Amino acid sequence: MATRYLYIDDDALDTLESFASRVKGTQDDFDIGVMRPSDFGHDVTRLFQILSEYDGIILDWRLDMIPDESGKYFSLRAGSLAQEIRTRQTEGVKEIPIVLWSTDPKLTRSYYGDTTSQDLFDRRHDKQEVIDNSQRVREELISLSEGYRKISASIDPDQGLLKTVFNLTDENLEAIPTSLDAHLFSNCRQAAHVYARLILERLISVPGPLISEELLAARLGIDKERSSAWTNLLELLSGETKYTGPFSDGWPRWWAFLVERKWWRSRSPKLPRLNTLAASDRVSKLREITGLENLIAAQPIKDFYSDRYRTICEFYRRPLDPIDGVIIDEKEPMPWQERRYLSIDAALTRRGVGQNIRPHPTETDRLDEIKQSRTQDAEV
Amino acid sequence: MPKCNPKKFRSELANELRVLAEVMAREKLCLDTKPLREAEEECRDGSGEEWGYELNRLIFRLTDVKNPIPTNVVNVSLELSVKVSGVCLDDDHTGDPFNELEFNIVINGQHNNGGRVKKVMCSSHLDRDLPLSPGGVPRFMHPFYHFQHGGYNTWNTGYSYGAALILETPRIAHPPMDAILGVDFVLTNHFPTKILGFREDDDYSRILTSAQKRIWRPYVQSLASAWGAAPTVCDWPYIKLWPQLMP
Repeated sequence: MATRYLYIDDDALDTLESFASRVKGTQDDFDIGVMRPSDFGHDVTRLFQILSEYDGIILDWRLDMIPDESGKYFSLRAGSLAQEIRTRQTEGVKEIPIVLWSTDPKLTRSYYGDTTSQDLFDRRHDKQEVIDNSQRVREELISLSEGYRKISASIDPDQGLLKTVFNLTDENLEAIPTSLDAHLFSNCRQAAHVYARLILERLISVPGPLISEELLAARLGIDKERSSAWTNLLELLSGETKYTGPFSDGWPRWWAFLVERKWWRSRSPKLPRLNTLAASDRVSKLREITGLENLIAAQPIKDFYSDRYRTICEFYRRPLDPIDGVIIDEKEPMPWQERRYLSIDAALTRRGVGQNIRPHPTETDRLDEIKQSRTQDAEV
Repeated sequence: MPKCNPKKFRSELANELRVLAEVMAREKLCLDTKPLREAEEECRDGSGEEWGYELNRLIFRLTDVKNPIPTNVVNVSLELSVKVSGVCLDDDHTGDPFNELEFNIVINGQHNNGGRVKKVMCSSHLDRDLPLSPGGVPRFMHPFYHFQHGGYNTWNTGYSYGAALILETPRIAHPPMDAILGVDFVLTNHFPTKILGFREDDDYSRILTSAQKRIWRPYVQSLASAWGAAPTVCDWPYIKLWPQLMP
């Protein structure tokens, strides 16, 4: 059955339909219905009746800017409407994802300054992104709905979210750190959207127990772009280590603990931890273990950088040893999350500033010392 | 045979590692405490009568490096790695607290040399001797737990060490260390005293005292027995710890 979203915007109907058809594409597994607030009579109760037929809702941020044919403006903005939807969901209305589609200027004044509004939305897409990257947007929307279904089906009225939501065997449940376990599976039932936010924002979107394909390649010491056998290697280890819980189809991830313990170190008890080995040694062992010859070791960003990678540079998106990086300035991580890094040279040349990737303030003195040293040496 | 509750022992030890991670983050001595968190999880997940964990490359940034060679070295970072295991023992045990210990300190830096940046590195490790075969004799007389310069982190790098000569000897007697004692060793050797006031805070002093009692007391008691000042029963012959001592 197709996943169906309802897109609500106060703009002209043909504009809404152009966005919808762009994202729908030619797929049969996905559909977007469009409505202006006047189509449900500006009546929120009627909207909820209509919404029961859908698997997700997309809102423009400013629903109150363009009047309908009678000159009437909708009285709510997306934040208020999303809050009402969430409140009704905690009272038993079917839980579905809420996605924000908007343009940056509209968001700048009121959305960015209000983190409580940001918490209401599962995802935000810039309208230009919806046009330029429509396939990805569609994948995310489908994944969000499917994730909500999985989570809702895994909530027990008395025990809250059940660990079966992650599809891990009993033995592999140790991949979930104690701190995350306490946070997610607290025997206190919460709404599906609360769990959804925890899983998507605090588990999938930040490195920790789950790692992206990029980070996986870095941990294995592999240049995945140049390794023609990379896909083969992924297939080999994914059976034991791939994340198959909520949102896994839209955001492919791997369990870091299972990659290291169940896959890598189970090949031989003498194998040391991955990040104690140089990338070339990791790749050499991988070739031996898997028989895949076309795996190439990743080269460091600078020739004087270490190749004992554990992370990636958030600007260059290339493998990085933390000793050659600075921690980026972001919200303090939860106990199960990992720090993210910028390479020292990216930091010194202020790369990433445009993407709001900046060194942590505590790294400033260190960067100044390195910069001064290189300047002095150049002067000599 | 241990009388203590192994699960409780592991849980308490894991909690100590968690507290250590929190203190390191709070005092901004170590911003990335993930290795400690992973060690905590591993310790907590143990089974049977034993405990164990691996602290994998906990990184400290060193900013107060005195008299380095080469002189203009920057971006100095120290990595501490500890792999340790033992039997869950009572508080009053008098034997070796560990079955296994790999303890490595690697210090990396960058040296600007005529416009080119080069990596420089030194390393040392605390060794626990492997058991000899029956009747076997060690090649060199060295203490059971000993610090020495170099090691595989030095041998396998291919770095050029200029005029420096790096040997495995001397092997200097040192009490055993786990991750907690290792972190304190790093802090007290590489950070200025003026920023170490937190060592007197309740949380840190509690876990350090616990580790010293658990690991150093039997070591010191064994050594003290060389001069008769020891408990009646001491499971750890001092001659093994410090073979240079005359019986």
